[in-house]
Amino acid sequence: MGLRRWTAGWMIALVAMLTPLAIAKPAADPQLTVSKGQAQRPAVVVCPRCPVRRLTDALRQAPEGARIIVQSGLYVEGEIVVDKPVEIVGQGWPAFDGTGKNQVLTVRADGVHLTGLLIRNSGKSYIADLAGLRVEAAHHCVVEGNRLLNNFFGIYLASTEDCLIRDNEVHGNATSEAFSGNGIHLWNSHRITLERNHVTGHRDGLYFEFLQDSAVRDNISERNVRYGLHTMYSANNYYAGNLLRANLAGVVFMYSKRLRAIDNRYEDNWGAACYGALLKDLDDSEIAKNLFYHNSVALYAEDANRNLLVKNRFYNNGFAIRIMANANDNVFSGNLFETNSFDVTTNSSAASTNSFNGNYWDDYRGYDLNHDGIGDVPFWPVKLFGLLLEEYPAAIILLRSPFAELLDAAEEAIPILTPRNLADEKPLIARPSWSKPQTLKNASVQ
Amino acid sequence: MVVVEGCNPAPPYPIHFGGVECAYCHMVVSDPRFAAELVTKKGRVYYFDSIECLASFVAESQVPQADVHSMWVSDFQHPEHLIPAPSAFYLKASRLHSPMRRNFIAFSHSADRTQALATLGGTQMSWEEVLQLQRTHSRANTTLRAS
Repeated sequence: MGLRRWTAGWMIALVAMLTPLAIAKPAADPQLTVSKGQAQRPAVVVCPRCPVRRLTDALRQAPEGARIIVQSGLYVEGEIVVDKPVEIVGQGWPAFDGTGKNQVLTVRADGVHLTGLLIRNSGKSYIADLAGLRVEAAHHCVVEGNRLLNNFFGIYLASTEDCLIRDNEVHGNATSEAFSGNGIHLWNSHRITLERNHVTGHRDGLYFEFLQDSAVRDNISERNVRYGLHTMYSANNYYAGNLLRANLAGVVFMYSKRLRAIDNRYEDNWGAACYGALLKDLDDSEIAKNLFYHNSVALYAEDANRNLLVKNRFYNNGFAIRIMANANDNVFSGNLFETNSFDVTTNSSAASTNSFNGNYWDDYRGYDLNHDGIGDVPFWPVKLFGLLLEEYPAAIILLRSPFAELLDAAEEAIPILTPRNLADEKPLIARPSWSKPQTLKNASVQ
Repeated sequence: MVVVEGCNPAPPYPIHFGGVECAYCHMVVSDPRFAAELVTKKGRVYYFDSIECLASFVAESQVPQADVHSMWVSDFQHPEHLIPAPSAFYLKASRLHSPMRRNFIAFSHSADRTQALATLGGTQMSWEEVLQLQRTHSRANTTLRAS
């Protein structure tokens, strides 16, 4: 009896000691935050009614490596400069507003992480490239899941390395008449990853200058005033899975080398004599598996050398390929040409150093007696009428006229003026098996 | 595509920004601060998106000198207002980016240029000097480093 009471006593004591531990909760601390499974660490919270009401003040107070949470509200603070490594997280789309006067947010430190911010209404200037977000001379930034609306330039990187720019919405209100800035502008930067961004309504959607060793993947650049993608003086970049649609013209690759453009779509680029892809001074690059659909000119090449263009689909364009005499040693292989008004035009009768090999041409009228899938006679894709057009563009009015047909028929019978060696010796008889309708890889980005 | 201007008044002709392409580099002319124009004696108009493109075009005699009627550049002080190229005052600005990155801008008055020099930095030049610079600037000189 005594023993039982003694044991019970200890058990009660034990339970009494352990109970407070079981039911205790951490004291509610307004400075701590809970955010979708992210590691909790002390953060500075900014909100219109909080002790800290401005991001500028939070930045002044926060130690390096801090997390700054900015809650929903309107923040008009002039230019905000981030000059230390911090993580700035927006909750409920806090709006940083330049009120049409200034550069909104500028990052000048390494290791800055920005997410969930709404940045809008930057100023506009003839002298300075004012942007919603500017990152300069910084490394290892992450700009992810932000919205940039109605800015002059959207996201502007200058002399920046090793950054990730992903899942941002960048929408401007540029018109062709008014002076406008680019959506995502990368200048003098290296090793940038640009993924799944959606850019509309700027001058050039994506603009790269002196960009190297970077990857541009699965972005949508559409309804911009000028180019969907514009690359100058750049090298060793990789562009894949991007959609460039309904811009004035699709993509410009200029004064660049060793680019790889794979599996992109260039659609509905509608400017008169504007291009799906303009290649000027582009060397040693690969352009593969792209879809050129419904462009005035799908691909224009001038002073472009040693490029490999394979497995592209040229469908329903005015001119599929306009290649100038100073473009040399380019290889066109395994491409698909369908319902283009002109497959290939050039501006010279001289012998071409470019090779066309194993492409499918819907205009091919040859035969395949040995059933090897390859036509037994060559296909000459340059029509005399096309050559005439290079010299006299206004002659387009004669397209599909009996005169033009007669001209082409005469040239085919007695070839004199079209470059004779610009021929596909092995044209495909049947459409290649890979040429099924392409689907948008990044259908989730709208 | 270049449209032949028939029954128009005298040059310079207004530039349709966003609607014409540069005769030299084929980019769409869209920035009124740098745009330029060349008119031939037959009335054909060539547009340029930058002064350096006009200068390169002229330096390479893409149109024979004898056929050129007039050349025009944008007055940086009044964009969209075109002034005669040979008599304009040029600045190769250090703190401004032109479409092909040669950063030439033009002024109708020398005083405007001096004022711009203070904000933008750079080198003052004449049309002949601009032409000469573009003549020597060739593909071989293009490096992949930002200036």
